Order: sequence, then C-alpha cells, then structure tokens
Amino acid sequence: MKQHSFLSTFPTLDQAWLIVALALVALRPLLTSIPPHDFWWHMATGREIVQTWAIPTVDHFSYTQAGEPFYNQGWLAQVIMYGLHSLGGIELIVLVQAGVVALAYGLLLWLSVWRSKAPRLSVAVLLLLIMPMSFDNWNVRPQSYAFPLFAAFLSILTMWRLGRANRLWLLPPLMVVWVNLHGSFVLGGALMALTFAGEGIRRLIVYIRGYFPPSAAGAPTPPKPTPTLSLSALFWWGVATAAAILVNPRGVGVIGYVFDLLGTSSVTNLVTEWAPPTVRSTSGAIFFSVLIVCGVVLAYARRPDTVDVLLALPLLWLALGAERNVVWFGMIILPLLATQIATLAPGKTEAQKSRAQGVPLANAMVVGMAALLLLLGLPWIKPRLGLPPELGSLVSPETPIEAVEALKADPDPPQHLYHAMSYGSYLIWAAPGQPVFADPRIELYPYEQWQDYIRLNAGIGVENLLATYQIDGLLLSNEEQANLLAIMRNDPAWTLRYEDEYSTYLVWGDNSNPGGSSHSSR
Amino acid sequence: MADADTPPPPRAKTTRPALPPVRLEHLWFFFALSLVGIFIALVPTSPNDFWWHLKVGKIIASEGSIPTTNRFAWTIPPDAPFVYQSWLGELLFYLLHSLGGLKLVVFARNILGVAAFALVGIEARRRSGSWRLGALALFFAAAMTINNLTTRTQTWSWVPFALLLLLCSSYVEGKLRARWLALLPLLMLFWVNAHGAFVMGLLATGAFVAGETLRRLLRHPYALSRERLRALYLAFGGMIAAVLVNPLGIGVFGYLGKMLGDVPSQTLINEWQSPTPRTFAGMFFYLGVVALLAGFAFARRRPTLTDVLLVCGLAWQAFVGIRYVIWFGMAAMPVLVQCFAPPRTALQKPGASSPQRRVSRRERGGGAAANLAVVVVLAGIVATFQPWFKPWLPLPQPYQALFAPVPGAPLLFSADTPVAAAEHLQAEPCKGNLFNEMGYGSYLDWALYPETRVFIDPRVELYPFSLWQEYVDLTKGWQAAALLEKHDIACVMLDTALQPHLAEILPTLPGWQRTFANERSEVWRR
Repeated sequence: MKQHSFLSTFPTLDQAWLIVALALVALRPLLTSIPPHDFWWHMATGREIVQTWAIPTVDHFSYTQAGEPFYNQGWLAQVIMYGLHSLGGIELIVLVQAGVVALAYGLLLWLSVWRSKAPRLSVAVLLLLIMPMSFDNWNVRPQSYAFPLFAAFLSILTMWRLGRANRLWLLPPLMVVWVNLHGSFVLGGALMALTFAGEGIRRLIVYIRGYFPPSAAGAPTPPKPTPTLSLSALFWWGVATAAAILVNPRGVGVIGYVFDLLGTSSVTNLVTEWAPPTVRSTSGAIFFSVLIVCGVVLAYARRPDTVDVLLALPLLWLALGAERNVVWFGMIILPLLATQIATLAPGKTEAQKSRAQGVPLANAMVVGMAALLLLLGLPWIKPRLGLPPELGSLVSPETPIEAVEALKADPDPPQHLYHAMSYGSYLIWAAPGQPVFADPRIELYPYEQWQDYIRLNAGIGVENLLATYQIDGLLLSNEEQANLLAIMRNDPAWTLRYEDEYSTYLVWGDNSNPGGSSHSSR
Repeated sequence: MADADTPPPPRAKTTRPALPPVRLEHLWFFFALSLVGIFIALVPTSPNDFWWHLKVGKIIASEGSIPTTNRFAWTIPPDAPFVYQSWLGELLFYLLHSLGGLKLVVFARNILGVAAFALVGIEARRRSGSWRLGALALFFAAAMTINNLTTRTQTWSWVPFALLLLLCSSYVEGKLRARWLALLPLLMLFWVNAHGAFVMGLLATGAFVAGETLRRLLRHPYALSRERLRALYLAFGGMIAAVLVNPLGIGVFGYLGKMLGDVPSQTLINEWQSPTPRTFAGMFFYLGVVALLAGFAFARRRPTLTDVLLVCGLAWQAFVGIRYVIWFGMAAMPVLVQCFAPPRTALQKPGASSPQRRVSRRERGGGAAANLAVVVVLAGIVATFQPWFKPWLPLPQPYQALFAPVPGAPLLFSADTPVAAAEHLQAEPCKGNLFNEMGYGSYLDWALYPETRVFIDPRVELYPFSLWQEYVDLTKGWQAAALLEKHDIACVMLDTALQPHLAEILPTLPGWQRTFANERSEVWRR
C-alpha cells in the first residue's frame, strides 16, 4: 500500500504527455537566438520611455525621417522588454519569452483537452501540426506578449458559450493590457464579435427551424444554443471591452493606426512576413499541409461547432494573406482540430483509460528528461554548451555587434550611414548617437525610400542614390547586400574600416587618413 | 460514416402541367456561362506562350515533321535538343491561323473556354441537382482562373480535363455505363500530343481509381461493384497505354519530370509561383478554398473519399503554382456546390432508374418562347465580344490600352506584342546579336525567324539557368554594359514597361542609339 501511495505521486501517461508538450513548446524559444529586426529598436524605445517618462511621438532615430510623426503603439511591451533587460539582461528576456509562449499554448492545450477529452490527441495536434506551423513566429517581440491574451480571450469566450464558466468580466481588463502591448488587440475584438455573431446565427437557425421543421429524412440536426446564457451578457461585456480599447495614449486613434498599417504598401509589399505564405518555403508547406489535414478532418469528422468554424475561417483568410498571421490561425484551430479528430475515433471507457496510463516510473523519467532539456536550454547554461552559434547564441549571429563597436570606436563616424534594415534596429539600441537610414519601423519610411533601399542593395543607380542621401558610411550585411558590397569594395573612394563573416563597414574617404575630413565631399 | 443517405422510397405519380424545356433555372446557368464567355473573350493573347508555338506549328506543317532542336535562339547552338511536346496543339493553332488568322485562333480559345466551363457547370448540376448551383460553380471556377485564360497550348487541355471529370464522376456515381469509359483513352490520345497537362488527366483518374478502390475496401455506401471497379482499372490502364502514343513514347514522362525540376521555370516564371490572395484570381482561389472547408464542415451531403482525394490533391498542386489553379477550380467547385445540395435522395444504385425530380412551377419563368429568347440574346451578346466584332464595341479606354494599336487589327494583339518594333527590325535588320525581352522573343520567333534569332524566348527549360540570371540582371540594368559587351550584343529590343531599368540605363551607355520607339517598345543599336 505504501509503495502504491508513493507511485501515485508520479505523473500518469496523460500528464506526462502534457508536461512534455509544454516543455517542448518552451524549449523552442529557449533554443532560438533573437533576430535583430523587431527586437532592438523596441528595447531602445522602451529605454527612452523609462528615461523620459514619455512615449515618443516623432522619429528621432533616423536622419531620413527625423521629426516625422511616428505612432509607437506597443509602448507597454517595449517598457516590459527594457525592464526585463535591466533586471536580468538578455537571459531574462529569453526566459520570459519561453514562459509567455508556454503559457499561451498551455492555455490552448487545456482548452483543447477540456473540449476533446483527449489529452494525447491534443498534444499530438499541437506538436505535429500547430507548433511546426507557428514557431517561426515565436521571436522575441511585442507580438509574442499578445499570445497569452489571445489564448485567454478564446478560452474565456469558449467557456462562456459552452456554459462552463462566466468570466467575461476578465475581458475588458485584458483588453486594456493588449491594446497597449501590440496591434493584434483587434483580434480580441474580432473574437468577441465573431462569437456574438456565431451564437446569434445559432439561435436564429433554431428559431427558423422551430417554424419550418425539416421534413427530409437524414437532414442534419439543428445546432442547439446554450440555453442558460443570454447573448446580452456577451453584448454588454463586448461594449465594455470595446471601451477598454480606448484606454491607450491615442484613444480611438489606435484603430485608425492598425488599419493604416494594414494598408501601407511598403509594409504589405516589402516585408517578407507580411507576404502571403507559399508552399515553396518550409513553413508555408507546413501551413498548407495543415490546411489539407483540416479539409480531410472536416469532411469526415462530426459536424463541427458553428462558432468554432466561424472563428477559424476569418483567421484562415488572414493567414492566407500574410505569413505573420499564420500563428493566430494555428492557435484557433488547435481546439477545433483536436475536438474534430476525437470524433473520428470511438471513445475509450474509463477502465481502458486507467489501464493506458503507462508505468508511473517511466512516466516520471520522461518528465525528468523534459525537465533536464529545459534546464540545459536555460539562457544561462545554453551558451556554455558549445552549440553552433545559431542555437547556442542568445542573439542571432548576424547581429552586427562587433561591427557597431568598430563604428562607435571610429573617431569620425559617418553623418549619413547606410546599412541593412535589420542593422538599423541594432544601431538604434547600441549606438544611439548614430542616426540610421532606415529600420524595421517600415511604416515610418515612405515607399519611395524603400524602393531606393532595394535598388541600392541590388547595386542599381548606386552613385546617384549615395549622392541623393549624402551617404558617407556603409555598414553592410555581407549576405543581404552582396551586390552593393561588390561594387563598393572595388570603388577606391571607399575605405574599408571593419569586416567580419557577416558585416562590412566602409567609409567614404582617403584610406590613409581615417577620421579625416573626408565626409565633406558628400 | 460520411454518406448515410438511403435510396428514396418509390413515389406516387402526380399529374403536373408540363414545364418549358428551357426554364428559369436554366437561364441562371446560361447567364453565368455568358458572363464567363464574355470574360474569356476579353482576355488578351499575351505573346509569351503563343507565337513561338504558332511558329513551331508552321514548321511542322511545312516540313511535315516535328522539330527537335532549338533553331530560334543564337545564345545556344541551333542543334541543341528541345522537346516540342505540344506539337498537336501547335499544329492545330497554325491550321486555324492559316484559315482565319489570329481572330480565328482567339475565337477557338473562346469556344474551348466556354465549352470547358459549361462542362464544369453541368458536372456541378449533376452533383447538386441544381442548375443554379451549377451556375455558381462554373462562375467561381472561372473567376479563380482569370489570369490563366490567355491563348496558348494549355487551352487544348481545358475541355479534356472537364470532360474527364464529368465522365469519371458520372461513372462512379452509377450514372454511366462502363462502355463510356472507352472515351478516356481516346481523350488521352489527343491530349498527350496537344499539351503537357495530360498528366493532370492521369492524376485525376488516378484519384478516382484510388478513391473508389479504398471505398470498396472500406465498404463505404454506394462503393463501386467489383465489375465496375474493374472497368475503371481497364480504362485507367488504357489511358496509360494511350499516353505512350506520342513522339517521345514513354520518354514523355521523363520530359515532364525534367520540366517539374527545371530551376529557371520554377524560380523565375510567375505562373509557376504560388497564388496570392492579393490578385483578383488568387482572391477567388483562396475564397474557394475557404468555402470548400466550410462546405466540408457543414455539408448537407458529405464528399466521398474519392472527392476528398481529388480535391485535396489538386489543391496542393494549386498551392504550388498559379498555373494549376484552373484544374483545382474545375474539379473542386462542383464538389463544393454538392456540399450545399440537399441529401443524396436521388442517388440510385447502378442500373436503377432515376426518380423524377420535382420542378417548381415558378421555374416556368416567362414561358418557352421568352426563355429561349433570353438564351438567344445572351448568346448574341457573347458573339459580339468575338474578335471580329469586338472593335465595334464601346469598350472603356483602360481596356483598349491593353492592346497594341496595330493597323487593321484593333483589339487583337496585346500591348506587349512588339508588332511595330518587329516590323522596324525587319525593315532594318540587326547587324549582329540581338538582346530582347523574353515575351518579345516569342513574337520574334514567329515574325522574324530565320532572318533574326533571339537572345531568349519563353522556352524556359531550353536555356541554362546562368543565361537566365544574366537576362534578369540585364533586364534590371545590373552590369548592363559588361553583359552587353560579353555577349557582343549589337541591338536591344526592350519592353519599357517590363524593363524600365534597362530603358533607364541604355541612354547612358556610350555608343548606343535608339532607332525605334513607340508606347511600349524601343530598339537600340550599338
């Protein structure tokens, strides 16, 4: 008896599956180095907000758009990121990122298990379909902090409409946080609106069928509404949540900002993650494979919940329009897919379930292995394991850390530096005195400037463009800007000041007189 | 599991007043078909995949044999091997062109398009039992294809594909006798020589064979009997045998494999790229995908395993490349509208007679004569959009701007067809090597070969990838002087809309002089 009691503290097989799933989810951010694009400029803005106690409203990081208005919507995420960095450096940021992602997918997994009553199936759907489709989008940036909020909205709304719990009152305060974290807050409003519409349609169908009962044999059974719940509660909490959107520095203008962003051609045309997914990339192939799986499951599983499908289809449309939206589609279909697939297999009896809970000791060992992996992945330990830089480094190897140090050490730094877009982000953080040409705040810069950026990188019209922007220094990415670099290397007017595997720094002027008055000619 | 419908009980005979043969529901179908017919007729014929095929057709007709080498380009040896797989399509185009010029060829394209989408609509009607849903299906199938309707040898694949789907799905639903399957190998005899999309026919039939085999093994309701399944196998085998009746024999599969692995085609050609919802056709395609998922989820009549195999396979193809969307649309839209149709009360076991479908009196519309008059008027409207009459229509200026102003041939040659530039080059031939825009190469093959040979043309797989990279660089104006020098190019014929950077750079290069320019084309000589 004593031994039995001891073993009962060990995890069951279901619990082991769930723990391992969450560990694997957390492991991904731990093993992913931070790319520079959407990280450093947010950190720099957070630093500025903390130092000045004011949210910047104009650009003062670039020399091309200095003084132009810029709406800094995700200020709260920036402050959080900078605060974490101040407290525990990059390591703490990475750890929190793993926690944030695990929290979001943990919530979804719980929702999925609750609805499907199939823990292992839910884990399989998460690990085999949803995670591969989504993890390209798990980088450290404000968007990630919105993941748990999205999962929370979905969970709260689902619990409400299925009559499990009424926690709609949580939505307005969550929205206050979301609207100040990231522009994806509109998805929270969309989830509420779609749930309201879905429940409304469900009631309407029942109402119509009450008057016109189906006569044909085999006609589908009408969906049943949740009778105890009134739509008015959702409506009024929806109104409160909509009001909560106004609790941000710009009030109602934040909605205009989001729609302006979606309509900015430089964003939608030039940024890879805003491009539609394509089956020719690995992540796109996974996404479209999941879509095929969805089709097969929907064709053969039991008729799904109307609201579930109504929520999933608009997010599918968003995902088809831009790679960055695939992550939201993945989150919404996890419970739907698991629930639908569960209907394909007959349910097990309680006795069968209890027999299939594995060997307690083995389960505990598996959980222990997962914990060990997590431990090794911790940002304080991982860099010491001798892993390749792509895995072992906390910031991605293409971040121009040494090159920017060389630039900062230059006694006569360029006035108008030209550089890779992602480098702009790091420069803003690491060399605040060095104004940038452009950075990943895509919507700040006019489309024409981005076209010039593309032409210059391709080596087209180099002389004219360098003269137009009075460029006197180049901090180039050896890979992204190879064509331009090839030209500039052969141009005797440019002097090489620094180069490494990833970056090259050149300045305009006499090789023998570094730091002289060479910039005057431009 | 999915298909739990039961055969209908026998119905009592009722006396109903006769309805006209052309009813209101048919008018919806004809209306949608007319819209599609008008749209197809409005699509310009871009030069890329048309003129060089026409030239090959001419060579086949005049020499009595299918060429096997490069011939048209100077950048690679004239005897470099090249497979003209679509020889029959090319020859047919040339024969039509000989009879009635480009207008007749375009008219043939329009007829084939209307016929194919009519078959799609008929198939959708057959599946759903509703002409209105049939109209909806054919409209959506055409809408997602609107960037794929130019005149080219693929045109010859439209009707075979739609016909094959109709035959196969009618057969597996027990609506056709086995002898009809004999049409499939005959269809393939034509198809394998007319265009490379014959392989889509094999894949689609393969989906029917695999799906029906699985249905039988899984004992699904209304699965084919052993005898009928055997007939399907035989027909499929016959199709594979028919594929061998082409100049390459079994080598045609090697050719297709080479095409699918051809790096320049896969990386540089737009229509081989994935569709995007930011284009009109792409938006309709993805709307179709979303609607299909919703249809599968809430289907009043669930798709069969065969349907799912067919649609998912073609969806994957369509995700891979824009050029495959047309096949997905033709196959998937009938399945989609079937999902919205009432339960399959009309489905009978093979050999049983179909029950009489009750048609509402409201379908009478305006009566036999009025309904027929509407059909005639619709057909008349479509006829006015045909190449002979289209110039007389008051079409908007932006549409007219899609065509080159060729004297005597208004609204016929697309704006990117260098008719005038080619005439200039014919009058004053280039004394040396010519660099040309890719699509221009196609027209030059037709208009100026053998006097003038091209740098490159849309026979993408013929040229090495390195040459394509140089072409792209030159088009972007990147290292223009060095590349012009490297290839000893004496003349450049460029498309100012597609090659603006080159047009920008050429005036800055020493020794180059522009000898021709119009709205779209320029000819420069060293």
